[in-house]
Order: sequence, then C-alpha cells, then structure tokens
Amino acid sequence: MSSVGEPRERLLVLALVALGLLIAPFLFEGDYEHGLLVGFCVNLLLLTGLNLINGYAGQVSLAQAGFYGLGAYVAGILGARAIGPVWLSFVAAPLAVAAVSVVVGLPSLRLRGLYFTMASLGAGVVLFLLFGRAVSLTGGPNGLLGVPILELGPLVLDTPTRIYWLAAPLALLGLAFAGWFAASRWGLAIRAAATSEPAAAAAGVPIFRLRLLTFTLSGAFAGLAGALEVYENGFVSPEPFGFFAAVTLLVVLTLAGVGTLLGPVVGAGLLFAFDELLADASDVRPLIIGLLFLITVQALPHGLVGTVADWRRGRREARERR
Amino acid sequence: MTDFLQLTFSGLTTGAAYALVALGFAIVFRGTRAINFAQGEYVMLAGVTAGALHQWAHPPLAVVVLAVVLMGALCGVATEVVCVRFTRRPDPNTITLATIGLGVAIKAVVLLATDRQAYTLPGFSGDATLHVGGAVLEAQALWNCALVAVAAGALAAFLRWAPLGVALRASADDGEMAAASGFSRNGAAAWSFALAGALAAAAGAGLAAVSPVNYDFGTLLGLKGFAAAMLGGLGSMPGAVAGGFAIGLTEAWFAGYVSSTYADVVAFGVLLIVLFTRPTGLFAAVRVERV
Amino acid sequence: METGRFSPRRLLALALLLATATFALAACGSDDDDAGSATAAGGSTAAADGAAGGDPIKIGSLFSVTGPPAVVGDKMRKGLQLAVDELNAAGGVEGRPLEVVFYDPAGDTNKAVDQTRRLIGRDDVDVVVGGGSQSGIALAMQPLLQRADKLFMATEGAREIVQPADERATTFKSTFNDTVVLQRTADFWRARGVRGVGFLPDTSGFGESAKAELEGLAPDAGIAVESESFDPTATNLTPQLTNLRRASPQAYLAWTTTPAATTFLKNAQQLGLGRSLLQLGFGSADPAFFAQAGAAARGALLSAGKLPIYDRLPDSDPQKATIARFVEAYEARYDEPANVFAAQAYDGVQLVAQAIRAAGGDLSGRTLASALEGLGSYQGVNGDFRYTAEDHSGLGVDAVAVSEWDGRRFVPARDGLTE
Repeated sequence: MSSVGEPRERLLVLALVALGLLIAPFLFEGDYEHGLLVGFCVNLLLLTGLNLINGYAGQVSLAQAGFYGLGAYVAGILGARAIGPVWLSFVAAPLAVAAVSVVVGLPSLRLRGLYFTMASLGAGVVLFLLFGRAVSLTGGPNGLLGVPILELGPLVLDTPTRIYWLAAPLALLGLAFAGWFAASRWGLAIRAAATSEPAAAAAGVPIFRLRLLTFTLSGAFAGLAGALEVYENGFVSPEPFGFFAAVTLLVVLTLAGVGTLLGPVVGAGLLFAFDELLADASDVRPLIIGLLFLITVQALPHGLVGTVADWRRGRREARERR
Repeated sequence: MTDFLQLTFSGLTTGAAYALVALGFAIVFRGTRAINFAQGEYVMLAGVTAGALHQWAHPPLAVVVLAVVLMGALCGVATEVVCVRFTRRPDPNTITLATIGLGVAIKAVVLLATDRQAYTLPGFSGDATLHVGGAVLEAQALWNCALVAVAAGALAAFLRWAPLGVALRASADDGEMAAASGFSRNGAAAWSFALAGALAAAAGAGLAAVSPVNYDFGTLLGLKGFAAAMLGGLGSMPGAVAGGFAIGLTEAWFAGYVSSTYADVVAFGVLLIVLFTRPTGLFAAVRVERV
Repeated sequence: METGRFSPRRLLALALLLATATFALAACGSDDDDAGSATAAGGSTAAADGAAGGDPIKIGSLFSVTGPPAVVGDKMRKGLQLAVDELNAAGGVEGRPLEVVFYDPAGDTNKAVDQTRRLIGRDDVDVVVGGGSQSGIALAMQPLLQRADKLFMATEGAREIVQPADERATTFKSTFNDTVVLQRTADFWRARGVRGVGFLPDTSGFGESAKAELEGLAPDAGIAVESESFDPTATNLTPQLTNLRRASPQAYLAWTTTPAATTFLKNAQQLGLGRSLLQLGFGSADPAFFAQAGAAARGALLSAGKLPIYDRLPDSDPQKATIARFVEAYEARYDEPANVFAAQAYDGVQLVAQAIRAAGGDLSGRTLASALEGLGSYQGVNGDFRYTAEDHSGLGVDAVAVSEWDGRRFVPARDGLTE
C-alpha cells in the first residue's frame, strides 16, 4: 500500500530535498562531480516517474528505461540535426515520450498485473533494439554524435555546473508534483484502485483512464530525464536503456520504497552510491543488483522507506491501543 | 527457391532453440503460474559451461551434454529454493520478479567468471553439412530439432503416464487438492523448475555447437523464448514448440526478405501483438484476465 | 500485509542486505588493482632503471580488453605498455617517467564516455593514447578531449576520427585511415580483375565509416559494390550472405573488429562461396580470427599493415627492420606473437614521446599537435608517419598490404603489395 503522509510531512520532505540539492554542489566541487550530481537529478526524475505507475497505480512497468532512452534520442537527434532551436528539442522529448506512452498504454493497461508488465517489457525492449538498429537515424550501436550545447534562450548551459542548476529545480518540481498528484483526487482514486479494483470500480472510478494518465505522466518524466541526460553528456548510445537498466530502476525503487514520497530520493541516492562505489568494479554491479532484487522482492517488499513507515505506523497504533 | 530454403533452414535452427526455451517457460508456468525469467540465463550458463568444459578437459561430447543437463536441473531446484521457498506466500508476481533478479545475478556471475570470453562446442557430428535443393543445412541444426522432438515427446509422456507427472498436472490444476493428497505445492514447483532447467541446458549445449556463446547471449534468447511461449499459449507444450518454430522462421524470412537489421525486433513485435489481441495465444491453455 | 513488526524474515533480509553491501565494498576494494589507476599487467612505470625523476607524465588510455573487441584491445594494451616500459627504462621522456591510467570500456560507448570524463576531471591526465579499441568509441571520446585541450592519439581506424582536420586539431591516430586500406584493396581488385564485390560492414562506427568510403571509392575504380550491414553481435551472417550472393560477386569483404569475422568465414564456406575471394578488413588483423575458422579460412585474404608478413618482405623495404625489432621485443616480453594492433599502440606512445620532446615540456593539446605536424617523417612499426596540418593519420597506401592465410600463417598475396 502506498503512503504519502500528511501535507506537513510532504512539505518537510520537499524542504529537506531542496536543501540537500542546494548544498550538494558546494560539498562536491568540480566539473566531473557536478556531472555526477546532474546524474542524481536525472535518476530522481526517472524514479519519480516510475513511482507514479509502479507505486501509486500499482502496475509494475519495465518500460521506463526504454522511455528514458526515447527522450534522450528525440532530444539528441533534433539537436544534432539542428531541427529547430535547441530548446525545442528539450521540450519535444517529454512530449514525444508521453505520446508514445499513450500508444503503448492504450492496449497494455487493459491487461492485468503480470501481463501488463510483460507488455511494458516488450515495448521497452523494442525501443532499445530500435536505438541500436536504426543506424541512419540514431547512429547505431556506437551512438549519436554531434549533440550541441544546450541553449535555452539567453542561457547557455555549457558546463555540468550550469546544467545542474537547471536539473535540480526540475527534479524538485517533479517530486513536488508527484506528491501533490498522489494526494489529489486522481491520485487517491488510483491508489484505491491499486488496493482493491472491484471496490474502486463500484465507486465509479474511471480506472483505465486514470491508469493511462499515470502511465503517460511517468513517460513524460522519463522523457525529460532523457533530454537532460543527453545534453549533459553531449552524447547518447543504446547501452543505458536496455533490459538490465529497466530492471535496475525497478530494483532500486523497490528497495528504496515503492509508493512513498521519499522512495525515489533514496533510490536516486542508492544509484549514486552504486555508481561511485563500484566505478572500478563495474562488473560486480549486476550481481549486486540481481541479489538485492532477489532479496528485496521477497522479504522487504515495502522497501527501506516503506518499512520505516510501517514501523512508525505500528508504533503509533500500539501507542493508541494503550 | 534456394534462398527460401536457405532461410528456412536458418529459421529452423534458431526456432529449435526458441522452442526449447519456450517449453521451459510452459512447464514452470504450469507448475507455479509464474514466469521464469532466469530461463534464458540457464541456457547461457549451460552453453558457456559446456564450452568451457570442452576447452578445458576435452571430455567426450555425450559426457559434456549430460553434465550440463544435470547442472541445469540442479539450477532449477536452486531457483525454486531461492525464489519460491524463501517467500512467505509464493504468489506468481513475486516469484516472477524474483526470477528476474536471479537471472541478472546468474549473468553477472558468469561475466565475472569468464571475463566475457566466448566458447564453442564442436558440432555433434563435426562440421557435417547437408545439401538440400542448393541450400546448405548444418547437421547441428537437425540435432537441435531432434532435441526438441525428444524433449517435447518425453515431457508429454512423462506428464501423461508417469506418477510424478500426473501429480504435477494435478498440482497445476488444483494445488490444494494435490497438496491434501500429499504432493506439496513446493514439490511441484521444484520439479517444474528442475525440468525447465534441464531443457534449457540441452538448448544451451545445442546452441554452443552452432556458434560461439558468451555471458551475454542468454538475455535476448530468453525474452524471445518467452514471446514464443506466449504465442503458443502460456502453459501449452505443443503451443511452446509451435510458437518457437513460428518465431524462428518468421525471423529468418524477415531477415532475408525485408531487413536483416531489424530481424531481432520481430519476436517482440509478435509478443506485443499476442498480448494485445489474443493473450491466451494460439493454443489457449489458460484464461487471461483483462480489464 | 504485516505491520512493522520485526519478523525473523525481515531481520534475515536486512542481514543479507548488509552482507551484500559488505561484499560490494570488499569487491570494489579488491578490484582496485585491475582497473582504475593502477598500471597494466607486469608493468612498473614510475620505478625505472634510468633514474627518471620529476613529475610523471600521465597517459590516459582506454582499451577494450574484454567484450567484443577484446582480441584487438588486449594486444593494444600490451603494445602500449611495452612502449611505456622501454621509454621509462631509458630515463623517461624529458627526464620525466611515464605513468598510465587505464580503463576498460568493454566495447560499451557510454561507459567509455564516462571513463573519458574521469580521465579529464578526476585523474587529470596529460595526454590520451587509445580510443577503446573501437572506432565508435574513439569518435565519442574525441570531442570531449578536444574541448579539454588534451592530445588524443587514437589507435582506431575510421577516418572521421581525424577528419576534417581543422575540426580535429588535437586528435591524431597511429594507424591507417580506412580510406587508404580500401584504396589498396581496390587496387588489388583491379589487378585481380574483380568487377563485383559483396560488402559486409558491421553497424559500428568502424563499419559505417568504411561503407561510406567504399561506396564513394568504388565507381571510380569501376567496381560494383553491394552492401549488407550486420549488428556487431550477430552470430549468423547467412541472411546477409544469401542476399549478396544474388549478384554473384567475385569477392566478399567483411569489415568488423569482433569475432563476427570468424562467423563470416565459416558461414561463407558453408554456403559454398569458397570459389569467390573471401576478405577481411584491418579490424581483423589477428591470426586468431582466421585460425578459429579452421578450414574455412584457408585462402582468405586480409587487408592490413605489413606486420603479418614482415619476414617475407624484400630486404629493401625499410619497414622490415623496424617491424623485426618490435616483434622481437614484444615476443621476448609477452611470450606470444605480436600483431598489427600491438604495433599501433606502440607507435602511438612513441609518437607522443617524440612530440613531447619536440614541444619541450608544454603538454597542452594544441602545442603537442603542432609538434606532431612538424615532426616530418617518423619510421614507426606500421609505416612511415608523415603528419601534416591536413593529415592527422600520416600513413599512406604504401604501408598497406593484402595478405593471404595459408592455413597456418599469413603470406603475401599475389598483387598484394604496392610495387
């Protein structure tokens, strides 16, 4: 069951995250380090989006990595081919991915549980394969070159530091939106449907339409993340968008806490930690991810944040009982 | 005509592999209602082990194949212990997700152990090739098809007549009754996984004899095998075999006549079409709930 | 759903998580010597006999020693290390020892870009030698290094790595451009009367570049070329070969750096194409690719440097002695045969050393680039390098040879050498 907490709690969480994002670039200085921080924001956006469909709507999606890649490639291709001004590609990416999400979601969301997951997996893998095979469009397995500097009107974001000051507010806004959405009447409706579908249907909730909306939103988040990533890197290639990437996002979110507000933040932090700790031993990473998933999915399904929330709830209930 | 034959032979070779993998999915689904995403990695593990064994010790081929089949079965049992027994209540969703994690872990272990090296097995009848109508067919392809036939036949017979097989079928149909009669759910699950593992191992050995195998080739194969199983109807054995060859042939013809670059997408296109139009597949064995 | 009771299962899960975390930390601790800042196998760089003092010169290096290009990358790394050790033993360059910072991208372009940014931002290297053993990777690394004003000496083949030269001011390569290799091959085809060719480039940057080159070259040479691309990880090239067979070409040429080269030879033989010429490009310049194809490789041709056939070269060829010296040193050090790739990396380091000496201590990319352009002619293992402001590859058609695999080794092919 997803938990969002009181409005005051949400505000506190957002304030803490904002503070953290503000201080971070001064704690870690240097272009390379700020690049990593942009990566944190990108992952935060990705996980926030995944949390919407996974956590609140209760539909496990394996398409997020593919959507992420789609956003990156759309922004990258438009930018590299100079189709329109650079800022257009940045805006087009989330919109394009949202559109594709609708196309994928319309037939997929009619399927129950595991079958939806399989369909999302299929869609994600098809996208990944296309990235590597549509050589004339995407540059093929070695990736797309010639991505220009990100220029948004008068702002020229040519260093990782400058991009960070765009990425961080976007990530924070995304998180705030997710929190608001979860507590809004649509969010409540969809969370009710995740807990008990017949009850929600009986109450007149337009389940399918709400799920489609949620899935589209999660796609848009992924698209935005992709656009940020491609301009930060100046480059995009298929490898980060495959099956393993989709699984990693799922693992990390599950471990952190699906359906919670802090979950994506903790998850992004976990990814950051993995990348840093395992930078020299990157071959061990899939092993750790696999084992963590194996353990988490069976024994800790609410993740770290969720377990803490459960524990606090348990304590509160015990106190009230006395 | 020659081209068509050539492509068809190519399709039969890969189709046999997909069929074996799909059979594995079907068995596990029958036994646990879950989808075993480690299936592709079992194939990879077996293929790489077979190749490595051959490279290291050169034992007779029959020994290698037998060894990996046994290993595959053990892998299956281990999967059951790790993904089913460990959970409080083994529901299909959890088991499926757990097998995803296991699959990733297996691949990583092989990566670390082999350092991305590629291995091959000699063809079961050497480099023999057959010439049919101007097209060339590797003898190994026939071996692999034979493997499918034997596996499917043996499975069908086992499920039909062997007491254990009957018990498995009973467990799949009505788990509680079967459990009450002394055949536990966990036992059924263990046997399903073990059989799937053995099948995958046979496929792995057969593939290693066709082209070099390394830590990476199992993932896509497993996903395509899953597509084949869905096409045939999840849980249906004949469906799995039919689905496997159907996808293998379609892929090969597509590669030859339309575009070899996008051939890999075919299997997933098929998967999506099946899911969206007829999720029960061609040989409907299980009902799929729709919203 | 249970509430927050600390059930035994939960505790076990947390304990396992802790164990996994500890394992992860231990793993990254023990793996620190393999990748990252330590030096290559068996190489000590800073501690040298020639009493090299002063600040070390940091050479960043990316070679894929695992993954699809592993055969290529492994030899390149060894070639690089040999050069570094030789230079250090002789007192370093300008009295400063050479230090190598090495990463293995394993054929993954994205990883390579990350590693390049580390080299620039964290490891603070002075120059970079080695572009990941894959043209696509080198192409991705190039803009980053250019922007950071670091000299980039690539060891990969695609010509766009160094062209257009005015946009690649600080990028050079120590190997042929695919242009000259294809030109040599086209000359060979003309001499042999080949009028039609079936071309199989892979979809990597290396293959794509060659495809564009050949399709431009062929009409002028009067040769008809049909192309069928394949994914570098493909394990079956029968569909592509079947398609190409329809035009009945006299020669089939496959262009890749991965073991797909072996698959090409085997599939071609199986399809009965052995009567036509079966050829490979300079991404497959290692006996391993041919040996693994067994009988199917006999008579197959290779367009690459002269190293594979150096002992059969006429004594008048100045390259013969240079190659012989390198091969001896390499085999003495590593107890295995040398190949073209090792020579490329070796040449790369030596060229950089020359440039540093000529530049008198200024290690910025721009300065070293001018130094290289002003070197004139340098006799490397793979040929005579003549860099100019327009040509950052430096090797000409005369350094390329077409060799033939006779079942055990390479021999010069008829019409294979420039007269």
